[in-house]
Amino acid sequence: MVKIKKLGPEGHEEINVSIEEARNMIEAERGRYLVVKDGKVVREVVLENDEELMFVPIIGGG
Amino acid sequence: MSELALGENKKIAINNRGIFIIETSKLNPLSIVKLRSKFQTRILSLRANIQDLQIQINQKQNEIYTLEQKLKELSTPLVDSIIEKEKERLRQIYEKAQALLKETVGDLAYNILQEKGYFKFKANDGILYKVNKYGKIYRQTGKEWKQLCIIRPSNLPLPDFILSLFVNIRENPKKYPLRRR
Repeated sequence: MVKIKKLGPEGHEEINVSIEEARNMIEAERGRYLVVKDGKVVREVVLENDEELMFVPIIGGG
Repeated sequence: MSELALGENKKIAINNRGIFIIETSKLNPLSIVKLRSKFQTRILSLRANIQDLQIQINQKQNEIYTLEQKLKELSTPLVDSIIEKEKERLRQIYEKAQALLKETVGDLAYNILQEKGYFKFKANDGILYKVNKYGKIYRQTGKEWKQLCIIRPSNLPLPDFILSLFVNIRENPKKYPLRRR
């Protein structure tokens, strides 16, 4: 399982998903969220069990 | 009071309020009819005005009644408890977001943010940035701090927004231009 913290209007949601679901989420949110692993933004994630990821919304510049 | 005749139909009147010219003119029957008609028209017009004002008063009284009823409905203990519950929910969301911010930026930066109202960090471009407790972010340019132009999403709690700024700007600092004055 992969633990995902996703920032949103309700604070952050914590969800546990399978590796496959996590991979789908990363794909689906590409361009809208940055994926943070161990405090660093990662472009490609090799997912393993017990991984913790954070989804941070991409902020627009004016 | 004294009066001084000036002519057939004009007199000067002097009293303790001032000096006046009093003019009298005889009304002929046609003028009397016209005056009656004028007074009658004016009376009708004023009555119509009163009716309009009465309608407006009634409308406003109805509006007051409706608003009082709505206010009453929104002032029950049940509604108060819903408001309190919502406040508590938002407080918990804020606390949760604060905890995640602390975890992400580190204890030191978080404590500085609490004490000084801002913390600094170096982004990928090697430049120093400063984010404050209101979610404003500045880039160090020489000796000055210049504010960046950021579009703030309205749906993020403030600590989550500060966290997002920290992550986004550390990663892609060049994406954010300086704010124009």
